[in-house]
Amino acid sequence: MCEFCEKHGQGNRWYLNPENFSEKMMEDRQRVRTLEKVGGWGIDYYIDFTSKVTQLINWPVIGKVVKAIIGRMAPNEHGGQVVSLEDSLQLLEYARDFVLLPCACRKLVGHRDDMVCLNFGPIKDMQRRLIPEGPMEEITLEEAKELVRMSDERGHFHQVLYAKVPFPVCICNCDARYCTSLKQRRANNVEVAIFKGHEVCAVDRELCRFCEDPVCISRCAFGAMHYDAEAGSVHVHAGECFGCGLCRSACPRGALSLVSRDRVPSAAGRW
Amino acid sequence: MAAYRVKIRDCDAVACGYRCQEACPHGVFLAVPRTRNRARHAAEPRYRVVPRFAAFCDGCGECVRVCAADAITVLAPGGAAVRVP
Repeated sequence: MCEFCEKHGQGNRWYLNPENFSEKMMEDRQRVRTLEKVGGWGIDYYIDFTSKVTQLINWPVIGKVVKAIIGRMAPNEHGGQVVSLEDSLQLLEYARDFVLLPCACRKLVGHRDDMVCLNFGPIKDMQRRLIPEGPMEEITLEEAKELVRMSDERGHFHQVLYAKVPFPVCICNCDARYCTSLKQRRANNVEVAIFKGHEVCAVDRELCRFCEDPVCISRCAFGAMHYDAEAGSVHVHAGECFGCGLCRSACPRGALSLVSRDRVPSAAGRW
Repeated sequence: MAAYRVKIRDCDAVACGYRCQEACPHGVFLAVPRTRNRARHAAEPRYRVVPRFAAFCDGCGECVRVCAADAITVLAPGGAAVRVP
């Protein structure tokens, strides 16, 4: 259980607690401000600003101070956590008003127009009000689920984004090449940009025969898998694993599975 | 992390069509808005490209090759510029 689940999960994961999706959440003024900042001010400004600020973490003296401040502030702002395919499909059940928006990371880092940013809840109304001229596509629950499944097949991992914990507003179908949260975490060590998921991948060494074309390794966006020559199988570095489950979907032998992060000593408590 | 440094001068990304972003395999370049005012920005989108995620650069030199204005310089850890044929 991560920190968010302990506070807001009521025994479940925070994004699987139906209460966290309720309209009451929008009564929080700080939350509305956060949403308006990201939506109205412009996601391009937001990404520019946050990536500039998190760079300061690498500075010698003030870095620690900046990191502490960001760690305090981020849960009240905008951030995310990696989720597996099953969890994202399940959390979509609790949400409504699905809209597709162009992925800002792909747009700003790769100059691509991909309508894969799956938003729900108050985003539809907010987008209409704040950026009426912007592209937006309304979809049904089934279409949303299909998109999530398709992204998984293509090798895009999912993260659930919150606007002030614990209010989920979006499921990202991220491409590691473009994902700015992942870049911020990896380049500047800012864990709050994107938290690891609740699971880690485990290899069944009996089943894994290290195929000629190990898709699992090439699909891992986090560099958590490598070939173990001694065992002749794939090895997962649980400390690096984000628990997205992309490797597992690709394994032809079913040798990979997701296990709870708490049960793996090298990964437990490392979010 | 490799210590490649990427420098960009006088970039007008809209004119060139964001070639460096499309070419970069590691997503080093971030397009940032030029204007501080969102209302003005919506009417006339102006971006420039900055190497915000230069930590991921592996010095392949693709961006140097595609840049229309020859505005990008990639410096290897020793300080020598990466040259492309």
